[in-house]
Amino acid sequence: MKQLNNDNAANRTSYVGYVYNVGEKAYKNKVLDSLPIEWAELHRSGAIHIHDLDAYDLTYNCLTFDIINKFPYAEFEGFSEQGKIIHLFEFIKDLFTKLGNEQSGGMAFANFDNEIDEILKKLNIDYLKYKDLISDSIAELILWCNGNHSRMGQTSYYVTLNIGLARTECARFIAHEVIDRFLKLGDMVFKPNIVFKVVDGINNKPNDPNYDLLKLALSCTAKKMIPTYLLCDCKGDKDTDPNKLSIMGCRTRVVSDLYGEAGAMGRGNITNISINLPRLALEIDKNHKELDKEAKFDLLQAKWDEVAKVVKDILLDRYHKVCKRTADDFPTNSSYHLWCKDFKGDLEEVFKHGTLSLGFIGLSEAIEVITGTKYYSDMDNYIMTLGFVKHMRDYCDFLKNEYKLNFSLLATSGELISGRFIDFDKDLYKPDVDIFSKGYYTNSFHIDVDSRLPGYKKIQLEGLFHEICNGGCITYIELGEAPLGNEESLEEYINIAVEAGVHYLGFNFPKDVCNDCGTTGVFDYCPKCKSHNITRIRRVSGYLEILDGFTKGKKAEEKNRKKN
Amino acid sequence: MFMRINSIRYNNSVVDGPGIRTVLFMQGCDLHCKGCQNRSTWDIEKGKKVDIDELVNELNKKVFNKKITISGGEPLMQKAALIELVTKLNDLGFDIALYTGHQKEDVPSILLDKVKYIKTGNFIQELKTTVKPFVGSENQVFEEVK
Repeated sequence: MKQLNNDNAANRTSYVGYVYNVGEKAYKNKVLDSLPIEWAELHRSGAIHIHDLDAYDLTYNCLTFDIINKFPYAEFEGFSEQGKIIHLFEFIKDLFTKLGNEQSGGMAFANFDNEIDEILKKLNIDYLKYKDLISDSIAELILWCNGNHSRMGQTSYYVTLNIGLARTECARFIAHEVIDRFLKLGDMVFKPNIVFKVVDGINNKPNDPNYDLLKLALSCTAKKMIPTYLLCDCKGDKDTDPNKLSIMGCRTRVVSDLYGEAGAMGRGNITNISINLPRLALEIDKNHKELDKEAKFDLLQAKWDEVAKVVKDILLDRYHKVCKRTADDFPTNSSYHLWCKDFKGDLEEVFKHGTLSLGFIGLSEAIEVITGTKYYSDMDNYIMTLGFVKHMRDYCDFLKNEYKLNFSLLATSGELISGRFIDFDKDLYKPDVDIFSKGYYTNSFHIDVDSRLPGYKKIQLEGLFHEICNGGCITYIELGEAPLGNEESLEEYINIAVEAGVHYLGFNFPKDVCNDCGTTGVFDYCPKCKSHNITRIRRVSGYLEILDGFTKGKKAEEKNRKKN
Repeated sequence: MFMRINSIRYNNSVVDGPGIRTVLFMQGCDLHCKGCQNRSTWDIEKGKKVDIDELVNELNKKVFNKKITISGGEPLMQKAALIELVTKLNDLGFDIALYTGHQKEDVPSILLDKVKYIKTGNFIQELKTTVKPFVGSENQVFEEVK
C-alpha cells in the first residue's frame, strides 16, 4: 500500500493508517474551512503552520503525566509479587497506548526511576528479590516503544523517560537498567527517548551519588546518541526544583505556571503554531531593499507582530475549543488524573495549566536575507538577532499577562515545515543570497548544520537563545562520527553548555548499521562483509529515526550536516 | 627552533583521545601506510615552517581547553623539535596525546614523561576498525602513560 504522505519519519504503513490518513486530510481541510478565511489562508500559504491541525478542536498536544497522583493500586490486589511487577509494566504500556490516542503529541515520565521506585514500594515489593524480572520488564518496555507502530495504525508512541535524579538504591537500579538494557539491546533499538537530568550535587561531579549513572549515560550516548541531556543547573532552570523539570515530546519545556507551582509535572503544551520567519524577511527584501540594516530589523519585528497577533487569536480559539470538551472525551486522563488537576466539570480548570506556544523556524535564513550574512558571523548581527528573538518573547510575556494564560516562545524543530515553508517561498521570491538550494529551512534559532563552527562556540552562541525560548528548544552538537570511548568529551560539552545557559543538549552523529553482520560506523557499504543492506539511523526532531523515512526537508538537512 | 607542520584542527576532535581535542598534524612521514588518510603530510619538504615559540603561543591562545593531540605525518621524524614543543606545552599545563606509527620503545623517554597519552603502531588497512576507540586499526595501541 503506497504511503499517502510522509509528514513524519516515525510512520509505517497499514490499512488502518491508510484510512486514517485519508480521514486526517479531510478533517484538516474541514477545520481550515471552518476558520476565518484570513487564518486559514496564512496556514495554506505557508506563512504559519498550525501544528496537529486534525486535533484542532479535539485535544491538547503533549503531557508529562503525574502517574503517582491517582495510581490504581487497588487494581493490583490479589496479584502475586511477580504478577504485580508484570502488571505494572503492562499498565504503563497500556497507558502509552490509550494516552497516545487521546492527545496529539508526546508523553513523558518526569522521573521514571523515582516514580517506579515509589510505586514498587507502595506495592510492597522488595526490588532486591526481583532484579531480573524488573530489568527484563524494562527491556520489554523499551522493545515495545521501539517496535510498536499501532498509533493511528502507522506510527510509534512518542515516549520520553526522564531519569537521573534517583534517590534510593532501587531508583538507582531502575535508572541503571534503563540505560544498560537500552545500550545492550543493540543499534536497531532507538526508542523511547531517554533524557538524563544533569544536576550538580546529584550526578554531575565525581563525588556526586549518581555520577556513575551519568558516566553510564554518556557511554550509551557515545554509541547510540541517546540519552540527551536536560541541564537543570542552566540559568533558565536553576531556580526550579529539578524533580519538576521534564522534557516531553520532542523538546517541549513547561515550567512557570500562572495558576500553580512551577514545573512540568502533570502539565503539558495545549497547542503551538510556528511562524515562517524567512517569509517575513523575503517580503522585506522584495519590497524594501533600499532600507538599512537597522530599519530592516525594525520592519522584521513589525511584520512579525502582525502575524503573531493573528497567531495569538488562533491559539486562543483552539484553546477555548479544547476547553469546551468534556471529561468524557478524555477517558484515560479522567481515570488516572494524569494532569495536575482532575478532569471534571469545566476543563479550563485543567487546561489553564498548559502552555500556548508561538513557534518559529528559519531564524538563520531570515537574518541572512535581511543582512546578507549569517546572524553569527559578526557581533553586530548576533546582538540584533538576539534582540529580535527577545522581542518575540516579550510579546509572549505580554500575552501571558493580558490573557492570563501560559503563553511561551517555542524554538520549533519543524520536521515537516522545514521543507514545506521553503517549497512555497522558493517560487515566490528571488533574494540575492541563496537560501533555497539546500532544500530546507534551519531548525528554530539553530546555527546552520554546515557551519563547521567548533561545538563549544556553537554552544556559547546558541546558549543565550535557550534562556529566551521558554517554550522549549534544544542545541545539537554534530560530532561527525561516534565518539566511542570518549565520555570525557561529552562531559566537557555538558559543562560548557550549563555555563552557556543551554537547557537541553543532544549529540548527533551519522550511524550506519549493516543489517547482515551488525557492523556500525559511517559507510556506503559494510566494510566487514561488503553488504549493501544498510540501515541509516539519524536524529530528527528530537527522536532517532531511519533516514529513508525522513521528510523531504529533513533529508536535505541531514545531507548538509557537517561536524562541529 | 623551527618545525614543519601540515595543519591544525582546533577544538573539535572527539576521536583522537579523551576529551575535545585540537589536533596538530606535523609534516613528514617515514612509514607511508597503505590507506593513509593524510598523504599530504608525507613529504617533509612540504607543509609550512613555523617557529616553535610562535606555535606554542598560538596554541595557548586558541585551544580553549588545553587538550592537544600531536599527530601527522610521523611526529618522531622531527624529534628535537617535537621534544621542544612537548616540553613547552607541558610547562603550560597542556594535556598532550602523541600519535606515532612507531613502537613505544622508539619514543624518547623525555616525551613519555611529558605526554598524557600515547598511540603507537602503524596503520594496517586490513585491520581497520570502527569500534576501537582512538585508533585506526586493530593492531594500534592507545594508552595513558602519565
